[in-house]
Order: sequence, then structure tokens, then C-alpha cells
Amino acid sequence: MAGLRALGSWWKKLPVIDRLILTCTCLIAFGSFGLFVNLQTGQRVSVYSGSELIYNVPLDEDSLLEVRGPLGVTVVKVENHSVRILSSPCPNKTCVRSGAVEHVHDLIACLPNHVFVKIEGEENHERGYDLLSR
Amino acid sequence: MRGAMTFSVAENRSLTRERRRVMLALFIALAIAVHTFEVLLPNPIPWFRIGLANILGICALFSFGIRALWAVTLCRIVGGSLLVGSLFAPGFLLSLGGGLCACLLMSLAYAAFRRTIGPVGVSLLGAYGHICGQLLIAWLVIIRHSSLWMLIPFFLLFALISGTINGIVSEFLLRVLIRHPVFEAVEEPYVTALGHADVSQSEINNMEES
Amino acid sequence: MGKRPLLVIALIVLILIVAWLRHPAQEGSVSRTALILGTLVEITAYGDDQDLLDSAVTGAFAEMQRLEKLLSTHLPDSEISRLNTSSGPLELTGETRALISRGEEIARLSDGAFEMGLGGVKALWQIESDQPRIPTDAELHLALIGLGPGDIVIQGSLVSRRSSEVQVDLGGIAKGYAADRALEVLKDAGVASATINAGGDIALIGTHSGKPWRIGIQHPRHQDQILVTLEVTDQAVVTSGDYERFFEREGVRYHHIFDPSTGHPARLCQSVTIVANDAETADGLATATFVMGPELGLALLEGLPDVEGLIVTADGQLLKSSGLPWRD
Repeated sequence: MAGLRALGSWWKKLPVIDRLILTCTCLIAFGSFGLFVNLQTGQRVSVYSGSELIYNVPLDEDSLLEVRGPLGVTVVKVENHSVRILSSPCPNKTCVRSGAVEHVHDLIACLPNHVFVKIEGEENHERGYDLLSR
Repeated sequence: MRGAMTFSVAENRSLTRERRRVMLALFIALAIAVHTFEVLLPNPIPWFRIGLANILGICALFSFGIRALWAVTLCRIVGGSLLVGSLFAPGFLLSLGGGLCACLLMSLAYAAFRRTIGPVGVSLLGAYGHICGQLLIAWLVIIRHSSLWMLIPFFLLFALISGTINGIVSEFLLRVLIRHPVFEAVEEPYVTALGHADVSQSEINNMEES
Repeated sequence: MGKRPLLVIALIVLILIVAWLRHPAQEGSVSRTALILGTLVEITAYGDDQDLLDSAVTGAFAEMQRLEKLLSTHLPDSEISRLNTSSGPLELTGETRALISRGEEIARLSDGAFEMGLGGVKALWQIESDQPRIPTDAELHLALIGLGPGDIVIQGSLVSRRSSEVQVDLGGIAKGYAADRALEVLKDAGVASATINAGGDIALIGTHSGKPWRIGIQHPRHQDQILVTLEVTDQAVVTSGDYERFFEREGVRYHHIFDPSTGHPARLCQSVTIVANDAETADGLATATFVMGPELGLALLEGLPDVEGLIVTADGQLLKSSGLPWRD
């Protein structure tokens, strides 16, 4: 209580302009959190079957997605801010072996089952290149 | 108006100027010391600094005016970097950008609300200006990357806290300083905000011109 | 009094303005992905007019899908599939004929290292299936009969195969050609900056907000590493590597780029990257150089105008042609 009272008297002694500035800076600081939180969760995982978008889920929420392709069901797992193909009906399982991806523009594809997974959104890490030739 | 009337006007004038110079030099020296001390402090997050050295800048501003603020800040940044050995390194550019932006904002506010703004307001503006300047330099020179913008809320919150603390400390320091005989020339301040220093300064100028 | 701070402020403002002008605000973009010609194709167009970009990208995909219907070996009624099952000369569209004759040109240039008739050999290996196998020499010998430059004959609008063993597979050139055509669609729509990435075959329009495109080249042995970064403007970059599709048997890697003289996977390179003015040329030459190997391949590349290359030899050595747009 004493602390609160001291704060109150300090506030009263503060020049009007200072009070105004303090209020404004407070609003800006806390307001900016709300503004930028959206940016942070802007990364989403898109799962396509052929050229059809099947799922579009946030990257930072764990989820298990099942996609039907010509060969069967491919299971995609979103976990710990990364995505991987958990299981696939394709013959050589390249997609499962290619592991997890986590960065914007990263892609995993199961070509035989026509399923691909893409991370979309604001770029979150500097790769040093625009495109990958492989 | 003047405290010491035993001096002749000429003596008083030169004495005031000398005192001013000495105090300014002291402020600069202290600012460099504090700046260096802060750089040497272990710091978990590289860019977060309380900016304690700005306290000296604010004191200089309220006792000797806008020019003094710029002198203390610029000398502090160059001198401090020289001492730490980071002159013209990216860290120096960050400091410089932040310092310039902070000074700009503080001077503008001080000039606009001459008698009604207090150290806390100036300090807060300085802290925000510092963040803006740093981010701008970082964006232009060092990294061009959107994740930089995600740090802004944290920077701003930190600036809010450090700015308020610095402002309070500055006010306290100014109150103590004002009681010292050296600051006789500076009138009992702050009740109508600490702007009176500029009165004495402009008087000195008038005298210089006459 | 007070003049100097003003000067400083003016200077700062000036510097900021200059800095601002030097880095123009980033423009908008449209990026879409689809499965075409058995690979993942990603088209990204940059510009201010979102609607224009959107319709241009849609048009580019439509063009690639049209070409897939024409050139794919997986679709039974594509022109190539019909050519492979026909016993006599077949009338094909001018577009397919032009592509085949371009392929024949690269085949002659590379002394037969580039070969469009390897469909039979590919079918024997079944690299893309779950049960790849190593064919016997006799099988391969049979599949190679009649192969070599000139094995696909064009007479007027008629196309025929020199022998029934010649199974046409445009895998080494169709992706690049499709990317080129899609690029033309984008250009015609007025797009001034775009990228097409067809499973690593990259075709580019213009620059990336004033700077060259930075193309990372995949390290052939470490999947998560970049070998080098090239800076490219308005050109195409294609990489062929033994790491794309392969299987291993008793420690030996069997991959999808076959030497037309043996029917076995070519052994002299780990990967070849070609930078050329169009993706069709780059695609064909990447395969050709891979088969020819570092020595002959590099000589071929140096002899061609506007073509540069980067070769990783079988023992991991890095070779590059003289004009490669290298970036350290």
C-alpha cells in the first residue's frame, strides 16, 4: 500500500507533459505486443493433394493430418514448430526419410502419392539464397 | 537573480563560463565512464542496455541546454567506443545511430516544451529515440530480416522501464546538483521544470554578444 | 548558436533519405506450387499488381500442364507415349518436333552422351519403384540397340523411331522446356520479376528487387548443405545429381542418370550444375555433362557461348567453367 501511495504521489508531482509521454510510451510498448504477436504466428503449414489445398494449419500448434492421394493416406505431423511426413503409402518412402522441415519456403513432397507440404508465411530465417537448385 | 553578487559582472560572467566548461567536462568524463562500465557488464541479451550514461546527458541538458546534451552524448559515444575498442565497428554504428536519434528527440521535446517537461519525459523520449535509431541502423547496415521487427515490442518495453528509471535518477541527481554551490548560477529548478538553466545560458550568450 | 545541431540533423535526415532510396520497399508477390511432370513446380511472381500476378501464375501453370499432356511418358495418350507405341511414322505437333530436334542437337553436341531414347533402359532399372533392380548385361545390351544420335527421325511433320528398342523419354529436357514456356507466359503477361523452380530446374525473369537472384546449389553428399551460391539474372540454372533418385546395393549407388553407352548409371560425377540462357538447354546439357564426366564435359561447356557449369566429380572435387557467376 505504501508503495502504491508513493507511486501516486510521484505521479502527481510529475509534470503534465511527462505524464502524457509516460502514458503514450506505455500504450505504444504494450500495443506493439498485440501488433507483432500476429506476425509471429503467421507461419502456416499447407498440405496439398495434387493441386488441391487440403489443410492450412498454424505451424506452432501440434497436429496430425491425414491426406488421401492416389496411393492411399499420407500422414503429416506438425510438432514443435516443424513438419514431417509420418507415414506414406508410397513405395520408396523418400518423403518419410527426408525428415522434418521448419523454415518458410521449405517443402516436403511425396511425389508418388501426389502429396506435398509447404511452410508459408513471413520468412523467419535468412538462408543466404533465394532458390535451391538440386 | 544571480546568487553571488559579490563578483563584478565581468568576473561573474567568466566564472560562470568556466564553471560551465568544467562541469561539462566532468559530465562527459562521467558519461564515458558509465558507458564503458555498462559495456563491460555481463549482458545476457546483446542489445538491451539500460543506457545509464544518458542520465549524464539529461543532467547536462537541464543544467546547460541542448548543446551540452549533444556534446555529452557524442563525446560519450566516440570516447566510450575508443576506450572499449569498438570504434567504427557495427556496435559503434548502433550506438551512434541510437544516440543521434535519442538526442534529436530529446532536444526537440526540450525545445518545444521548454519549461513544462521534466527529466522523466525527456528520458523516455530519449530511450525510445535510442531504440528507433538502433533498429534503423541495424536494418540498414547489419541485418535485413523481418525477425528484427518481432523484437520491437521487447525493445519498447525495455525502453519504457529503463527510460523511466533513468528519468527518476536524473531528476534525483539534478536536485542534488542544484544545491551545490557550483550550480548557483542555475536557479532552483524543477518546480516549474528544470528549464531555468537555459535562462542563465541565454543570459551568458547575451553577455557574450554585448 | 544552435546552428550546428541543425546542420547535424539535416545531415542525418539526408543520410536516411539516401539509405531509404537505395533500398526500395519490397514489392508484393504471388507464389504457388503444383505437381507437374512428376515433380514439384513452384512459381513465384513479384510485382505491384496482385491480380496481374495471380492470373499470370495461373496461366503459367496451365501452360505447363498443357505440355505435360503432350510430353509425359506417364500419360498413355501423350504424344510421346503414342510415339513409343506406334510402329510407323507418326504425325506430331510442331512443338514436340522442335523439342525433339533440339534434343537431337544436344545429343550430337555431346557425342551421344545425351540420349532421348533411354525409356527402355529406365524401365529395366525401375529406380522409381519400390523394387529397383540391377538388369543383366544381356537385357541392357538389348535395350540399347539402335540408340545414339539420330535414333529419332523427323521427316516433315512425321516422327519415327529408328528401332522399336528406342523408347523415347524426354525426362532430360522436358522439365526445362516446360519451365521456359511458363516463363514466356509470365513475360507476356507483363511480369518483370519471377522464378520458376521445377524440381530444382530453375528459370528466372529479371532480378530480385534490383539484385541478382541467389541460387543455392545443393551439396551432393550432405542433404542440408549448400555447395555454393550463384548470382544469376534472367537465366536458368539446372542441376543434375546422383542423389536425387537412387538406390544402394552392396555399398554401390545406382542412380537415375544413365550412360547411353553402357546402360548403367554414369559414374564420373556426383552432380553437374549448368547456367544457360534457357532452362531447356541447361537441362539437356546438365545430363550430357554428367554422363561425359568432368574432363570432356568441361571442354564441351567451355566451347559453348553463354553456357557455364559447375561439376562435382566422383571423388568430390569441385570444377567450374571460366565464367561461372560465383559468389563467395
